[in-house]
Amino acid sequence: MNNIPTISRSPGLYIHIPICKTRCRYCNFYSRSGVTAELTGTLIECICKEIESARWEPNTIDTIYLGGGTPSVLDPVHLKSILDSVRKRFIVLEPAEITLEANPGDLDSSILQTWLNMGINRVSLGVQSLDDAALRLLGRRHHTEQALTAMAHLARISKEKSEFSWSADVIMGIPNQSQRVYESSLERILTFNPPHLSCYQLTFESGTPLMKTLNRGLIDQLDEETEAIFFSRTQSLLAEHGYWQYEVSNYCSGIDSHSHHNAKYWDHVPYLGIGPSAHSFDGVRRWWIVSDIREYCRRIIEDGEAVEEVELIDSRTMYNERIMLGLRTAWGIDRSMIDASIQPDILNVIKAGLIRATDDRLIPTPLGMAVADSIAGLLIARTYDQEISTRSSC
Amino acid sequence: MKNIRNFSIIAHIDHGKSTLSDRLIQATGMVSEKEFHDQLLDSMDIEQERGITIKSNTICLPYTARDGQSYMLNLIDTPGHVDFSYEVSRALASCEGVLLLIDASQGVEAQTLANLYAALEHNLEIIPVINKIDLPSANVDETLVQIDRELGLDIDRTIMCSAKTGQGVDEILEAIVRLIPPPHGNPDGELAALVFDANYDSYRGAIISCRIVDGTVRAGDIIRLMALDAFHKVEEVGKFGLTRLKTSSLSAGEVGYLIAGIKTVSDTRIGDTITQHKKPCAAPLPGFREVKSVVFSSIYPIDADDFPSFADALERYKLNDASVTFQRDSSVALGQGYRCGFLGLLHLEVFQERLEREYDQSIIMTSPSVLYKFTLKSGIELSVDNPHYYPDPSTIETAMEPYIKASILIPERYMGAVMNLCISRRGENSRFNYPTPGRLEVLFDMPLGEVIFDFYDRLKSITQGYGSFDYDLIGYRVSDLVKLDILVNGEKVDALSVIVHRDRARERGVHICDRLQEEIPRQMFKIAIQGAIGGKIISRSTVSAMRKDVLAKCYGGDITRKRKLLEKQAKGKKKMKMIGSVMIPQKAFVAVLKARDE
Ligand SMILES: Nc1nc2c(ncn2[C@@H]2O[C@H](COP(=O)(O)OP(=O)(O)OP(=O)(O)O)[C@@H](O)[C@H]2O)c(=O)[nH]1
Ligand code: SF4
Ligand SMILES: [Mg+2]
Repeated sequence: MNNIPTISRSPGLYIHIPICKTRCRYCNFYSRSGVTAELTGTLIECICKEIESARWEPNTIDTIYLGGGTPSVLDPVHLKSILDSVRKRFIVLEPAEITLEANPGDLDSSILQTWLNMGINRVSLGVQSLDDAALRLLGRRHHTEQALTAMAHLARISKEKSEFSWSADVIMGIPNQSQRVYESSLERILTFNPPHLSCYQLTFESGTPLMKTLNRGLIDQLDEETEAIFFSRTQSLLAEHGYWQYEVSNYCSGIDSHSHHNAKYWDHVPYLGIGPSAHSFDGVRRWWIVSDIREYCRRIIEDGEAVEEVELIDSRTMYNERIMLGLRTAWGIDRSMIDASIQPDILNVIKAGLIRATDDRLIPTPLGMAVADSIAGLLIARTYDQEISTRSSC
Repeated sequence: MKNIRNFSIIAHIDHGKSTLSDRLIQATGMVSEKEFHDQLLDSMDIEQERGITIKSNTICLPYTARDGQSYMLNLIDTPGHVDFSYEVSRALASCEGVLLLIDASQGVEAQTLANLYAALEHNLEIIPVINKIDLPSANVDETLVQIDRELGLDIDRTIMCSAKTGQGVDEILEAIVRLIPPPHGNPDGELAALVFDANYDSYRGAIISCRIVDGTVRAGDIIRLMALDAFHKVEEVGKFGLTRLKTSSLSAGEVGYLIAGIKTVSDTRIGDTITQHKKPCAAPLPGFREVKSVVFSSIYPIDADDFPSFADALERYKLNDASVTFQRDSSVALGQGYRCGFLGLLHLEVFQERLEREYDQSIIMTSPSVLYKFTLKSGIELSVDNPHYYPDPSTIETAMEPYIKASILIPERYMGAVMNLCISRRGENSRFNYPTPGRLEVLFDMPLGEVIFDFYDRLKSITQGYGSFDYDLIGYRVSDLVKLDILVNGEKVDALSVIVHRDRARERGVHICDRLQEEIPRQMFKIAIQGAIGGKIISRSTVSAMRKDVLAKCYGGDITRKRKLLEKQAKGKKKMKMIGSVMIPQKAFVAVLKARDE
C-alpha cells in the first residue's frame, strides 16, 4: 500500500487532560498525579471555558482527540461537559473521529458503553507490554490481565459496531526485555485484531525516574544496532499481519483505519489545542498553553486564555517541518517543494535505498523510516548550505 | 647622532640573549623593580610559555658612560632559533654592531656561525661575549679557542659575562659605546627610512618600525611609501621604550616607530623605504632578501563563510611576520584558503598558534609538505610544494626531495629507540657524538619530508620528553616519490593528498584511513575511505551506515522542539565539509596530521 490516506483538511481539536492516577517512570508529558477533586472540577470548568471562548476559524472540525495525561480517569460527567462545550462552540462534521486515550486499568464494559454513548468512537489503549516485569519497570499502574480484558472489550465492540475503532500503544526496547518477549507481547496483542497500533521505541527523557535509573547504571540503554533490529522486526512482523506502516511508529490494518487526527499533525492541517501544555497550529502560527494546572486555571478565569508562547511558521520553517514530518510518513514529501539544488543529495539517499521516488513524491522506504531524522537533517543542512553559497556568490 | 649606538644581540638559541637584554635594561634603569620580570622583551604569550624569542624586539636605553657623556643605546634582542633567522637579518639592517653571545658551556653552535656571517655581510662591528661563565660546566678557555679558530674573532676584545649574575654587564655597556661606531647619515638630507617591522592596531592602523638612514621625519609630514607609491600623513613618531615613547621627530641614525593612519594593511611592506613626499630620496634602500620557505601547508578557515575575516587577519599577521609566504589556494573540500610557506616546523607551529590566539582565527591546516623537485622527460624542471601540482607520473624523469642533517640529543639509554625511529623514517649515514658523559648526539641524514609528519611527537614520546631535535638542510637527493590520494566514497579529497616516498606510502595511507574512520560520524550510507596511488588502492577503511535515527513520537506538541533540534544540528553540520554526499568534520582534517597514540 502506498496510497495517500484521506487526510481531511478540516481542523482537528485536541484536548489535554493533565491528570494521571500515578506517573509512569518514563513519561515526560505534562501531567500531574494526586490532583484533588476540587482542582479537577476547576480544571474541567476552565477547559470548557477555553473551548467555548476559543478564537478560532473555521467553526467546523472533524476530529476530536482527548489525550493526556489519562482522560480515562475522568468522571464521565466531566467528559460529557467537555464534549458538550465542544458541540456548543464547533460544528462537528460527520463522520467525526472522536478518540479517547485510556489506561487498561480504567476500562470496563460499562464505562466503555458510557463513552460510546457520549459519541466517543475510538479508544487508544495504553497496553505498552504484556509482560508484567516490563510494566513494573516502566511504572505502569495496570497489569497484563487488565490489558487483556480491556482489549477483549474493545475487540468485541469493534466487531459489533463498524464505526468503532481502537488502537493499542506498545513500547519496544524496554531494558531487560528480550526481543522474544517483546515479539510475543506484540503477537498476543495482534490476536485481538486491533485496527491500529502505535509501536514506540522507549526513549529516556531527561528528568524522568527512568533516566535516573539509567544514570545510576542500573539499566542499560539499547545500542543503535539493537534498536534498529527491534524497529525492523516490528516492521516485518506487522507487515506479515497485513498492517501498513503509515508513520514511523504507527500502523493500521486498512487504508482508512489510520488516526485521522494524528495525520493532521504531519500534514500541516490546522489543529486547536485546549488545556495545559496543548499546542495549536492555524496554518501560520503555532502556540502553546502554559504547562501548569493552577496557572492555567488562573489565567483562563482572569484573561480567558493561557497562551505561553506563539511561534510564527514562516516559509523556511514550514519547509523544514514539511521535510522533517513528511519523511516520517508513508506518503513522504511532495517533490515539487524540493529545491533543485539538493537533488544530488536526494539521489544519493535514493541510491542508499532510504527513499524512493514516485512521479510526484519522495517516500521513505522501511529502512529510511528508521533514519528519517538523519535524512531530514541532511536535506535541511544542505538547503542551508545552498543559501549560504547563493548569498556569497552575488 | 654621534651619541647613538644601534646594536643587536645575536647568538645560537638559548645562549642568553634575552637574559642579557634584561640585565642591560636594568643596568640603565629603564624599568622599575616592580615592572620588571624575566625575559622582559619577550612580550608574546607564546614566547613566555616556550621560553624562546620569536620576534626581534627593540628598546631604546639612555646610558651615561664613564666618559661622562649621555648615549642613546638602541638594543635589538633577536631570536636564536633558525626558523626565525629572518628576524635577525632584518634587525641587522638597522645596526652598526652586534654582541655575539656564546654560551660558555655549549661553545660555538650552528646559529652562532650563521648569525656571525650575517653580521659580517652587513659590515657590522662584532663584540664577542662569552655568557654563562657562572655555570660549573662553563668552559671559558675552550670557548676562547673556538672564538679564535672557528670564528676568527679577536679574543682580546671578548668580554666575559654572566647574564644571570650581572657580571660583565658594565663592561659590555662601555664596549658598546667605545667599539660600535655611531650611525652615519645626514639628518638634513632627503628622508630615507627602512621599514623593518610593523604591527597593526585596529584604531591607529599600521605601526611601522623603521630605521632612519637619512633625513628627519615629524608628525604632520606627508610621507611616501615607495614600493606602492602610497602617501600618508604622519600622525606620530617616537622611540621604543618598554612602551612607545612619543617624540617630536626621528632623525638619521635613529630607530623608532611611525604612525600615519595607514589602514590599508597592504600599503605597508617590510623592507620598503619611506621618504618625504615633497623632497623624496633618489632611490629606495636595498630592502631585504627574499625568504626561502622550507615547509609548506595550506590553511583554510574552519567555516568557509569566515574567509573574509580570515583573509583580513592574515594581512595583519603578514605585517608582523614577513617570513611567511602566502599564495591564494583553493580546495574543493575546504574552499578558499592560502598556501603558506614557512622557514621551518617551529615557524609553522608558531604561525598556527599565533593566528588562533592573537588573531582569533579557527583554521584547518593541511599536511605540511616540503619543496620537491622534478625533472620531466621533456627536460622541464619543476618545483612542487603542493600535492595538487604533482606532475603526471608517466612524464617524470627524476624526482628529488630535500634532505637534512638531523641532530638528536638524548640520554644514552634511548639510543636504540631513536635509531629505530630514524631508520623507519629513511634515515641514513648515522653518526654519534658524546658531548657530555651520558648524553648522546645522534646524527642522521634524513629526508625533511619525513620529519615534518609527526616525527617530533614520536621522538618526544619514545624519549619520554628527553629528546631534543635540530636540523640543517643539506641539499636535494633523488627519491622515488608518489602522490597518495584519499578517496571518500570514490571522491578524491584534494586537501588530504600528500606526496610521499613509495616505501612509506602504505603506512601513511593506512594511518589516514584509520584516522578518518575514527573521526567521520556514521551517516545514512556506508562510507568507504581509500588511499590510492594513481588507480591503485593501497589502504582502506569503512564507516558503517547509520541504522536507527528517528524520534519515536512526533505529534502536535513535539514538532516545534524537534524542528529546532534539527535546525540546530543542520547549522552544526554547516561546519562539516561535504565531499560528495559525505560530511566530514573539520577535526578529521586535523586528526590525520596527528601521530598515532601508541
Ligand atoms: N646560569 C646561567 N644561565 C643563564 C645565563 N644567561 C641565560 N641563562 C639561562 O639560559 C636560558 C636561555 O636564556 P634566554 O635569555 O632565554 O636565551 P636566548 O638566547 O634569548 O634564547 P632564544 O631567544 O630562544 O634564542 C634561560 O633559562 C636563562 O635563565 C647565565 O649567564 N648563566
Ligand atoms: S499514563 Fe500516560 S501521561 Fe500519565 S504518566 Fe503514564 S505515560 Fe504519562
Ligand atoms: Mg631570547
